[in-house]
Amino acid sequence: MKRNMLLSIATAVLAITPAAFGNDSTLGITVGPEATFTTVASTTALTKSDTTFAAYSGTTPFSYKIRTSQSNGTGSITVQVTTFGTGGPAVADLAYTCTAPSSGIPCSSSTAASTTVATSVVGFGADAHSADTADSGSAVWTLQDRTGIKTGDYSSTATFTISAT
Amino acid sequence: MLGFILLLPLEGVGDIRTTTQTMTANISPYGKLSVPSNVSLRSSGTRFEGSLAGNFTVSYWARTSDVGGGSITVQGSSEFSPAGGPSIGSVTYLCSGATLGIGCSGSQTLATSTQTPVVTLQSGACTGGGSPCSTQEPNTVLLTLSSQNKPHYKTGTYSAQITFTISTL
Repeated sequence: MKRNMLLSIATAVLAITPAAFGNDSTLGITVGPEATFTTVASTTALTKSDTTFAAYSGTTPFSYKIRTSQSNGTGSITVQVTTFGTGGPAVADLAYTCTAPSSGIPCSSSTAASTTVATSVVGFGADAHSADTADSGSAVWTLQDRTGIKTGDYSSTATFTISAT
Repeated sequence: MLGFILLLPLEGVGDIRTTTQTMTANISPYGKLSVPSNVSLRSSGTRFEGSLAGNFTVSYWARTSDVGGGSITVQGSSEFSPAGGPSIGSVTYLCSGATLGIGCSGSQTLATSTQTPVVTLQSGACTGGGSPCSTQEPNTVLLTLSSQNKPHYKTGTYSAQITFTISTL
């Protein structure tokens, strides 16, 4: 017997029902020690106001951001200079004092500049933080004026380095 | 004794019957998504030169009605723990490359108090199989998250839970 069955899909009913599904994720942020200069004066003129062999002086301002590790973290700002050149002042006659805000400890007293090692300007301990907008400090230079220096213009490059762990 | 012989035709009489059956298919709006269980944001350097950033892909399957639509949203379920680091409100994100629907426009900011948009699904949207649905299955959208890298944050790892929700109608 032959039987044909006609199947007819007469209606597809669309049921409009709101559906929602959620999934969670753990968002992790790792914050590490960081440090940077935001500004360092590109030139510092060492000047003096008299002509009686008093010392030259000048100030190098700088701004920085720093964050050191909570545990055993340290940080530093150091400076190393180059020689002034033939006939000019001796680096041995160049020294500086430091200023820094509470985020760091400025060099304790007059510090001799060096061409061979980086010397401390500011030290930082564990869990040190500058302001979000940066902190400011400075190196105040003093250069002895010796009679043996030939007249003229001399320059030395001072390289400031900041680091944090 | 009478005998009856029942004669049967050698061939059956043609018997064609037509019946109509109504079948209904309840096609409901549908949505499902998948996100990594862990997403990490970190600095790309050590000089505050960039934000704390990371990205990840949200995979989703969706079907919306012809008169409906839908959305994928995200909300912070908790603040970052421990304290001393970023807040949920400091995290922003961009949505790019949504393969179904429209990714969020511009920079969005995470919040614990409200759901913020990731993808908006149009009516008649559906995942996979090609026209009129998408060719991709699952559909995906790339989220790029970032948080400002502020010096006052204490070093360490902070975590918070965020919840993605897909709603379809």
